[in-house]
Amino acid sequence: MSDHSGAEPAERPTGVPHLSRGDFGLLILGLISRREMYGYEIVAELRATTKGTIDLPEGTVYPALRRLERDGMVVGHWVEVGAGAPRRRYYRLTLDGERALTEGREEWRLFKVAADALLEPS
Amino acid sequence: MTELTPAERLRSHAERILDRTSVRERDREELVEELYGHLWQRWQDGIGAGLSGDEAADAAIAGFGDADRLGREMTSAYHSRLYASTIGVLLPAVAGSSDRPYGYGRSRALVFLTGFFTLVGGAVVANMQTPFRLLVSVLALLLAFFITVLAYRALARRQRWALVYVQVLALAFVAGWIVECVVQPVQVSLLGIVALVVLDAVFRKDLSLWVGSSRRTGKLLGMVIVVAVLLPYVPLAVGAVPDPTQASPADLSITVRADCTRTGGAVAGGTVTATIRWARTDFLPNGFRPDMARTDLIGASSASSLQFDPGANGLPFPRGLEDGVVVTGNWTMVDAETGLPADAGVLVFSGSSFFDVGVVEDAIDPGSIQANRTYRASLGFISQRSTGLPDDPIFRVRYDHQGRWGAEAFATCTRSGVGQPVTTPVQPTSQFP
Repeated sequence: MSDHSGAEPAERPTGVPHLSRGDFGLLILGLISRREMYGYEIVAELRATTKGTIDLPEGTVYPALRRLERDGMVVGHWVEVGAGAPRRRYYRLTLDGERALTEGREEWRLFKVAADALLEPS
Repeated sequence: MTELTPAERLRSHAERILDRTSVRERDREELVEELYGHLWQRWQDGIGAGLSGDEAADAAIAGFGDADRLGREMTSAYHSRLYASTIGVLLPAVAGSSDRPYGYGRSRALVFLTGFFTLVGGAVVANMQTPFRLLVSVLALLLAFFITVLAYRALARRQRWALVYVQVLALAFVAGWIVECVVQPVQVSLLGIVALVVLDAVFRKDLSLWVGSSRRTGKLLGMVIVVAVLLPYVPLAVGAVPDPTQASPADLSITVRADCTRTGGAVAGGTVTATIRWARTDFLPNGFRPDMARTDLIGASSASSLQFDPGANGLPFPRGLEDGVVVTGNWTMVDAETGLPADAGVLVFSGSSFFDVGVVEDAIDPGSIQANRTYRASLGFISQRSTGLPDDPIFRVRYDHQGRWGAEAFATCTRSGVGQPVTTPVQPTSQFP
């Protein structure tokens, strides 16, 4: 799931050395696994949860969501939110998405352990 | 010009992003709505934070990211890279028409001219090819033309592969022009001149920056681009490909007979007769054939030839005028039944009628040959040497099929010969059949 050597998302987030397209998708899956979210909310949540470490150009989230939807990891549905406001497209995880998230977490954990071992001062 | 409201600007920005994508109309509408919803909420938050309507809209648009880049990302989210670089570039889309870099126009002009000449060249080549080779050539030329169309469009979409294509194209044309000039000085090549002008621009930074946000071109795509540039040359190389629609040595039979007269045991003269029969002819349908029969096309020789010369075991006709042989009649191929000539009216004698070199050649007219008919050519000879010719001289008859393949048969005064295929013609004359 996690592609540590893959292409970057549309624009590199500030303060993050390198975030591949696969990693970004994994982060979105992680967020959506908590509850159904829509794009704006995902960006805000990402920013808040990481305390601004991951601060993406906001539009970047939509190609990533489309990829996840295309790959069957998430499914979106429209929700009306009230007069005058545009409706929102909420996303939730599919079974495949949950499976991919589990695998991705494990891969990430192994990667983190390996990276920590290499980067820790001896 | 009417000023847009902030909300209209946000929707316009969302549409502008999607203008740079190649997605289905239904998906596009939903995406516009989703992106607009995001921008709208950011705008509302900005107003809530004390910004004016316009300031909040500016902030929402600025925070959303570069429209070009988001558009490309969105396209690749829907389609494979191959699609985005091929079908995707053919679909109508709005691309920025301003800020085009130095060399952009002439690069596209080179691609345009390449496509144009690919089609024109294809039309010329079509008139000179046998069916299978024609098919291969046309497919190659159509593919080459299609690639020029893609490249023309892709350059406008700021795709790096298109720039690489133009670079390779320009280098190839300039190199080709140089080679032409070396082979034959003072050659004027329109494409060469345009390529030379383009060469100045395509390796400068301006165009590289123009496609800078596009993906890098890997080795594989680089090879594909080189092949694409070479595709228009396929018709020139296709002559080496066997054409199953055409006759082969197996379709041809030759027998040779030498009827000799002897004086005191020595051969004093006689007649050599070759009988030739085609099980099928490889001559193109009417309409193509007249061009095939011309000899003034690029390297094309449509004239098949019969050769008649001394055998490998020694000259039947000793050199020297006084020792030569006088030939009688013409080595002209005729229809065995009707007696009508089947040659192209070109009868070539090597040397004089004193047959001291020993080659008589006749150009056969492909148009007059029919399958399953018998054709015959014969030549009489008289030895001028008082002692006659060496005992049982060898005669060779060779059929050279338009420089591609041949068959030859040997005969002596006591033994007739049957033709055997010759895989390498003595003098390949043409890359075309």
